[in-house]
Amino acid sequence: MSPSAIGLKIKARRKELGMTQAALAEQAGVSASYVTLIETGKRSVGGALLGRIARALQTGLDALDNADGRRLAVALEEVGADAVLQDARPERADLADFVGRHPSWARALLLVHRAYVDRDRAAAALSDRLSQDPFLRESLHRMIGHVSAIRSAAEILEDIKGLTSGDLSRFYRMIGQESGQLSDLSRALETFFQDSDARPGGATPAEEVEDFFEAHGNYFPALEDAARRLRAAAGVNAVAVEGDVRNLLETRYGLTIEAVAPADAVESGLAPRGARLELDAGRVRIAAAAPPSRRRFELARIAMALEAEEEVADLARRDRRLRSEEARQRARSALFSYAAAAVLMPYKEYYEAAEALRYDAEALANLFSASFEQAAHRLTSLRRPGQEGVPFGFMRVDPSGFVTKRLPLPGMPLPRLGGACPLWAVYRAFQTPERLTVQLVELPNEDRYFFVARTEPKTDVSTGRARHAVSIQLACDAIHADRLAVGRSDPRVLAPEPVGATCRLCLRQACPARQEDPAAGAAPKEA
Amino acid sequence: MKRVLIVENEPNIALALSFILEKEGFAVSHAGDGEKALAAARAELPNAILLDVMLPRKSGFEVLQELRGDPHCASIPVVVLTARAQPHDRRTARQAGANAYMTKPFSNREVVSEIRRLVPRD
Repeated sequence: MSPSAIGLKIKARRKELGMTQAALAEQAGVSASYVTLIETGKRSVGGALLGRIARALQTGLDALDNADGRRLAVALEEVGADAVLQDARPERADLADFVGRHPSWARALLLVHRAYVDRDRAAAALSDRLSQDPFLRESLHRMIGHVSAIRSAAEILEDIKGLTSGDLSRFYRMIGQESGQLSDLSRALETFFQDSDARPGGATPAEEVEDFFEAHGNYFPALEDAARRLRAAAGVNAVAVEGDVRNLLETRYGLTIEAVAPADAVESGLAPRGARLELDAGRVRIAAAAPPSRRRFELARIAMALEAEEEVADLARRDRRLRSEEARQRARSALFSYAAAAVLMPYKEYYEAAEALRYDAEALANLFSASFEQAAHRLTSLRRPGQEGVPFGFMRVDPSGFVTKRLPLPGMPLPRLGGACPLWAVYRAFQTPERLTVQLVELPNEDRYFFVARTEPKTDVSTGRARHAVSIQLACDAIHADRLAVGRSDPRVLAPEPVGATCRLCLRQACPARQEDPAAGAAPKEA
Repeated sequence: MKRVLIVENEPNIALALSFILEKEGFAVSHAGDGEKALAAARAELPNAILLDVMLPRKSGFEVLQELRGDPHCASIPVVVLTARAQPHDRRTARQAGANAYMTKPFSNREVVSEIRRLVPRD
């Protein structure tokens, strides 16, 4: 035990009490000069004397004993010995003093070192995985085999004169065969790396769910089918109105629908969704003050939670991207919402209407009695082979700029953390509430997109009043201009506006809207 | 006529190697796994062996060790021809008695050149 740490504590405590060395010495039964020696670490102290000093200082032995400090010092000895410090070894002799004088910094140093060791281990594990992954090793070996055969056959064809036609066919066939297998192999490797794209342990459940939806292209045929079955069972041919869904829940599942007055909505646990299934009580409680499109959606969602429970559980369980129960739970919830949309905006009808209305999300919302967000979101799921709509990306932001929901377009950057480029339509839309903002943008890589954005008030289900607004944005590649209502007629969209993805990653140094310097490495080097 | 035993389990590679060695005037035989390789070597006593490492039933290194341990086969020149390219693989092969070590993908000309070096024409 280092004497100096205790000495420092004694001194600090003494000063706290405004006590002189002489006063302490008298109470402890030693000379003042001895107290000095103790406080400067030139004498160690323990046993009965330490007890008397502790009493004199009106403090417990533990506080002086510094068990905490000792543990910290031992742990930091290890840190000091880390290979990374081999050219800058800290003095062991200074350690006790450092811990004694600056315990909070000592603790911080320890935490940082631990984090560094963890990252190091994670990196090593990943690297190991790569070099020892059986699939990769096997694939590499096979790849070399195919290339060898191709090379050998090609050299034969090139070098050897007087090959018979039989020989020629044989070696051409070999090249064909082996290169075909090499192609298959390269595709398998590509898929392997796509799947392994999961962040090493750093992804939050919300991010895992986003990855899950992205990987499925936001299209789930099993749920589309389940929705169609439900509609058939409910005898719904046209736009499903609230009555249809209520009827279905009542007849197919024997549930009673109970409206809950605004005042009771919160304590009935209905906020924020506005509806709740209480299976044991055989009822669905629904907030009377929720807007109609919300009520209809939530009822449809409950119906699909009952109808497609297995399909959804299956989808969530089988996917490796969802690594925690929380992630699977969130995924299931989001899938039920998907399914609800499939009930209210059935695929074939929605797709045909979208084509006819040239992807005017406002018109579609009106046609299907849905909210703008619901209609816009549904557009992103029109990915059935043979009946594909224009591919859209979707994002929702809150008034602080934070992205609260993301469905990125492949190839278009949509930041994961924080906000997007402040020039984007999704933010500008707040300036003209509940009116459409249309923008043609050009990203630094010269890709062009249409952005169509609109705010939507978020209603409080307990009062029916707006809590705040969110902004919804649809994005699509500008090559689809001629399929879109906004693409043609509007002169505002003719001039593309230069934007970025997010300031941190953007190279447009001179942009007047820049909030943040680009991250290291993002900016081009000085010419 | 000089004979080369090709020990290789990928049929197309074996086919190509056989073809070029036959064009060079060698008689060629083929074994697709370690056990068959040893049997063929002992039976035919070829003038050279082209030996892959990743083989079913016995690895090329094991085959090589057994060949070197067998007085009848100990002096047959062996060219190891393999996808494995790490320095320690080369060392293992040398220590086990290989005369040459070539990596895949290979050039036909280089293989022929190496065999020629180890098996002089009459």
